[in-house]
Amino acid sequence: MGDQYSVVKVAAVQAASVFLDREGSTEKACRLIREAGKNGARIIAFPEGFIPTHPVWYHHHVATSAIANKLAVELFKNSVEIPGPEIEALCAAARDANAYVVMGVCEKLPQTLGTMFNSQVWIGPDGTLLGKHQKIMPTVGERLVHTGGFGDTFGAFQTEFGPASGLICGENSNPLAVFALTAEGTRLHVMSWPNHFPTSGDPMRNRVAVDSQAFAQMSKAWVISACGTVDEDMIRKLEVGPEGEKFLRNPDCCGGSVIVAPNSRVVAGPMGAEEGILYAECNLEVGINMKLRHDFAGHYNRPDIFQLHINRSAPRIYTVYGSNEAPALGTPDAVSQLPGAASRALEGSAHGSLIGERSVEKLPEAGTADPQQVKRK
Amino acid sequence: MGDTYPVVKVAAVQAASVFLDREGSTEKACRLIREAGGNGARVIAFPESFIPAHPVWYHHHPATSAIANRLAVELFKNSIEIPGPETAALCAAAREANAYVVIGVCEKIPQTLGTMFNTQLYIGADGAIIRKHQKIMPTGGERLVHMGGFGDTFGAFPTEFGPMSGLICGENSNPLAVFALTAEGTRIHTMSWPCYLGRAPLGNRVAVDSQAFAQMSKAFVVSACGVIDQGMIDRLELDAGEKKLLGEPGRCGGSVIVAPNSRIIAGPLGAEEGILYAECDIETGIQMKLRHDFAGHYNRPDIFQLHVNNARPRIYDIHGTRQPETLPDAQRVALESHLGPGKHDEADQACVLPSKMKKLAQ
Repeated sequence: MGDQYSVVKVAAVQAASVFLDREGSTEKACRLIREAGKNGARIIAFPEGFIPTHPVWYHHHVATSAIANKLAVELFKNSVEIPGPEIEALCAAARDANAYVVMGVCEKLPQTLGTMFNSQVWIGPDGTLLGKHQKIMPTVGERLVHTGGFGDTFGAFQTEFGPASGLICGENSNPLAVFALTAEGTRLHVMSWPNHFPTSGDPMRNRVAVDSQAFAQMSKAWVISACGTVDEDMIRKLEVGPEGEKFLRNPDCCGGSVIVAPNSRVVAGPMGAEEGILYAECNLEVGINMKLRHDFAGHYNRPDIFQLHINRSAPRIYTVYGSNEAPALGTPDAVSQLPGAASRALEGSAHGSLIGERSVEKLPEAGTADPQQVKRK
Repeated sequence: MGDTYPVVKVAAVQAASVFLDREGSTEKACRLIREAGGNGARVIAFPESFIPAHPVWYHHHPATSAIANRLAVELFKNSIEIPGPETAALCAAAREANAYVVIGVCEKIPQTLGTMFNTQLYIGADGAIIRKHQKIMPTGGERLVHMGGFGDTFGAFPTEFGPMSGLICGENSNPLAVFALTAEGTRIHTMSWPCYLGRAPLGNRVAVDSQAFAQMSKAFVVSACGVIDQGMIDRLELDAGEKKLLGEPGRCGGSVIVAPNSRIIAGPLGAEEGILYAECDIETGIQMKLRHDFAGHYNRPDIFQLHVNNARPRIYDIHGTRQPETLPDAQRVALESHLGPGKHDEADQACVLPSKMKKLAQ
């Protein structure tokens, strides 16, 4: 009888954040997750920066203006820690829905007052946090508030349907990112989009349609593109003036969620400017048929000509050498004098994980602790 | 006043080959080049394998059937050598048209009886061959007649408008090829497409891939598609159902020209023959690259690094030179004493050369 492939019901949630309100946006997200789950969706995709919002004010205000700064401070105050109470609520909703959830959030590092990431959070149907992806390169105005992630949060996630992946907005047309996820075998790819694009270019929906179909063509995966929408509350808080308001109320400005099959055909959507949930049944077997023709990570590429190298490590901006209890000044490498497990844990600690490094001091005797476990704390 | 950028008139030629007729297809191509040049085009793009045809019969006949074999032999006999009389004719037409020409040909290696490449030939406005690109990976039935090229024919080529590039059919959605050409700074990219893609409408694929390439590279994309004509249908020996399929509108054609913002600025053409034109303002790329430059500020060289191998492996390599048989010791000693001590090589040489040659060698 050969291999069997699933037919997966997927959902693209098209909705507006509760603008710059972390708790309100989380509650709205949980409600929508439960609704989509009730309708049978096993993968539920959300827009970029859904909690608490995407920094769209840079399309309308000067980068250093008082209002832009004020909104950016609000963005930080309403950004989420991973893990944290908002993630817990999302995990509970995912478990209730029995669905994988891919949520766009503005992330901050625990216990800090600065630096945000534009992240996609991946949650399993059992309610566990699978991981996150930090957008590797912020786009135009995002550069004023977001920093780019590293290779450590890039890559496909393992699901019960096989490898699945996600990217955020402009990343979705990065040919090297597309290739890398194709090489990791993605079958279902989630694109998170903001609620609108710059006032000077084409409407977002055009970009979403092209990039979704292009990703499907290159990867032969199903593509679920979730777009944000504009609501009156956001328009009011943006203080954009009559011209900006007119732009934001144009129905072409926002939305445009689509679901695309591996043959590049749009199978659901595009949605208009309304809030709603778009569903489609994705037969994973379609990918085989398409890969018989083109498999850009296999028979239809040329590893003797092209080789992509990926760095999966994150550099450390802050590393502590030695300890307060170091035996003497002038010791060349105090780290090497720590107990074995503690020394290994220190070497393995991640970018900016000051907390992890400090916990080294509280380690039990050498050899009794697994450094990997220390890292996860 | 800063830098200035040209506005380039480009043309996508949508036409049918004179099926499996090298000389006929070349003549038709030259006529179309002159026509497009007469209308002011400075870049003229042609479909895949325009000379002499794309091996479309594998959409209809089994790979090893008698008719497929017969048509494949015809394809070889009508394939071109680069350079050769057909490229000389194309170069003359390009010079007269004062235009860069990108044309799809089925290429064979001079003096051979086998092995074909699916090639794009790049000709300069001065009538000189700039380079060729051999499609790196044949698609579907092409695998039965075409061999993939190597890194030596991959890459952008210089023009008076800056770097330009071309790829053939499915290569155009190879993300690594797209990235590499973006990194080489392509500003005008030509896509050569066949006359149809089996059972999937060609125009859909062409539109998606052209817009996607523009989005990733911020280049103008000139997509030239072939069309189906009665001469080809007759030669393919199809049943009624297949003939009907090939007659459907939307089966062939669909040439487009796309701007760096992914907007279609000319086309798509229908199933008819014709030449599509557009004015390409190269400066548009700057505006788009301010937002995304996937080979610059909008990528992450600390995470992703693409290595491209431009070398071509050699299937046949001669090591050393033909060596004579070793001389018997007595003879060698005699020869060496005649030539002087330490003259082993000369002694060897003297032994194998005929007496006439020996004199010449001395």
